[in-house]
Amino acid sequence: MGVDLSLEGPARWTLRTRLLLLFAAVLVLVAATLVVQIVQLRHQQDVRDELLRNIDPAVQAATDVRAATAEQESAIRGYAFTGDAGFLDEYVDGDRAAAAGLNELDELLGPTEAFDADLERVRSLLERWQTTSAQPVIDASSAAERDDLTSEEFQEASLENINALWAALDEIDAHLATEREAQVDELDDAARSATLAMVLQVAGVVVSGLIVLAGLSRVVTGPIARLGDDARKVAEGDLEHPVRGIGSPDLVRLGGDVDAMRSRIVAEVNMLNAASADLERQTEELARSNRDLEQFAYVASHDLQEPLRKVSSFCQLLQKRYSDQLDERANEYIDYAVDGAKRMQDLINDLLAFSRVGRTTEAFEPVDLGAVIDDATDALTPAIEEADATVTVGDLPVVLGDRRLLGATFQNLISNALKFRGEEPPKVDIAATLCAGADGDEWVISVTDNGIGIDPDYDEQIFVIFKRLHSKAEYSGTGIGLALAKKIAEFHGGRIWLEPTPPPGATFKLALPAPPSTEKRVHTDAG
Amino acid sequence: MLAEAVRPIEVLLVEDDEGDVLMTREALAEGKVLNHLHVVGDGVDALAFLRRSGAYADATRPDLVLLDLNLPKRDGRQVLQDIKGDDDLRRIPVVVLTTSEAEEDVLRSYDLHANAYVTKPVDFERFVDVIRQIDEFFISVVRLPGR
Repeated sequence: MGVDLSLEGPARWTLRTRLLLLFAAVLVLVAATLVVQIVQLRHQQDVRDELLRNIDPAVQAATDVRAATAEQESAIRGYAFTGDAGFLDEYVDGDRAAAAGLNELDELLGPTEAFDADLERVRSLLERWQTTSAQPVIDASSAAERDDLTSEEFQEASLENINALWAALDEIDAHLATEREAQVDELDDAARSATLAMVLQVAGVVVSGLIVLAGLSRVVTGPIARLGDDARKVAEGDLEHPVRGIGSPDLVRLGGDVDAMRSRIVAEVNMLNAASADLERQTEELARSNRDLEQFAYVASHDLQEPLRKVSSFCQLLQKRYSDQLDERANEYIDYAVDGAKRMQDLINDLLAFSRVGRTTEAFEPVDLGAVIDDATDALTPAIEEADATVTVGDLPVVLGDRRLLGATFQNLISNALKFRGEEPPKVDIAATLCAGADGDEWVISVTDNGIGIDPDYDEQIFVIFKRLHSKAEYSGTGIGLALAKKIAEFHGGRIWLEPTPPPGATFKLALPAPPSTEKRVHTDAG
Repeated sequence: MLAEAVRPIEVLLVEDDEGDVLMTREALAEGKVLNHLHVVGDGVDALAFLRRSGAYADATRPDLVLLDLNLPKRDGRQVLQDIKGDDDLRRIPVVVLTTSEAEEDVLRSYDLHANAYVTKPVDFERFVDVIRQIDEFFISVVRLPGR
């Protein structure tokens, strides 16, 4: 289930790319609304600045100019009627204040072209009043001259001039008021648009949130849930259910990988099933062959021994009934024939015992090795007494096993120690230690004697069935004992070996798995 | 039993091997066992003899059965089962004689309540001993029903 690499364009975008794009889109949207909002705020700021810094002071300045000119006009009129030079000082003050007011207006409204004409008009009207109405009064050198200037006519012209100036100032006021109105409106507009922008931004964030959710669902959660469904079906046992990734190529690849894993597991399971079927067949064959062997063992035990018994018994009968008619040589022949038949029977019985190890055991049970060895020494009592042997038995554990087989093993080992004795009366020492083995703890039971010992060269051969190191004339026996002991040890999951020791004597060690509950404790070899 | 000791014991030998029949006869003679030996060759005949049916209508009820395990037709185990399952016959002591030391046989025979189980030894002298022991055990020590 490979990834379809023929996909073009967006279809080839990985999950990461898709998420990044989604994120970028939202970011752009938010940034755009932010920019709009900042521009709006800046504009609002400008308008407010204009109002605070220009228009309001301008209104004040215009008022100042009006007050100054009013002061000038009243000063000139006072001078014209009284000739008091004090009025001229007031006039000069008023002139300075008017000039300062006009300069301020010029400064505040200068940049605004709409006011250029207004300001120019105020200046020229002020100048006209000063030159035509004020200057002649100041210039008049006598009271008579000044009286002419108090004439109704002149005063009217003068008032007209000053009224024209004030009308011009009124105009500026009106313009400023209009301007102010316009800017307040603009401020209101800006506030409205800012609110709108805010609403739009919130709406934008909500919409982009929804888009992100939808996108995530389409790009991530959907495909993953689908993949999860597939994987769950497989996990629930439908191993043939294919797993397919959808959406971005990496999810498709993940699906492909999971499916490859599934296919692999299916293949392994099939292989295991096949192997298990094979094993079952083999087990069945083995069981059949075991049954055959059992049958063979029975046949061997009965049918092979029957003729032997016949040979030996009738030879003996012949000897018994007709010995007076036979010479010594004939009797010797008969002895050999009987001996051969007996040995043959021993061999057959040993072979049977060997082949039966494990096949007559139904289940392992706890076996107290101390009791087992007591039984073995009891059975060997005549031989022990005859050899004047000492058997020392240490503290022995309980193991899981077949009591009869373990008994046979120890009986074999002890009787070997008695049989292969040296010059001294035999001493047999049996002790156990708990050792940590590769597959858990094991009891190692050692059987040490002071006999003739065993050449280490033969430490393996001695365990081969019917293998003997000595002639039958030297030591009796069929050579089954150690082979049987080895088979019994292995049947119990243990092993037996000849421990290399300096002469004299030999040490056999039998290792048996310790039962799981065995406590770690130190065993003393107290006899 | 001393007063009646002179009466020969009736022994039924169930054995198909003529050599073994001869051997048993010799051993009984060698062991100086006073006996009447009846021989049948297979399990079917053994049961017929014991139940006095057919050709064995006049058969004597044996004091002891020496039963070989491996017989033609009905084998020794089945014969033993039949004898021990029969209210009339179950009190007759049965000694199973066989060449087999196989433990299964021992167990099976004991399960079927054989009175003794004897492996025929290779040694003729030992066989005589065994026969003598059987005789002593069953005839002298155990008080047999009907005697």
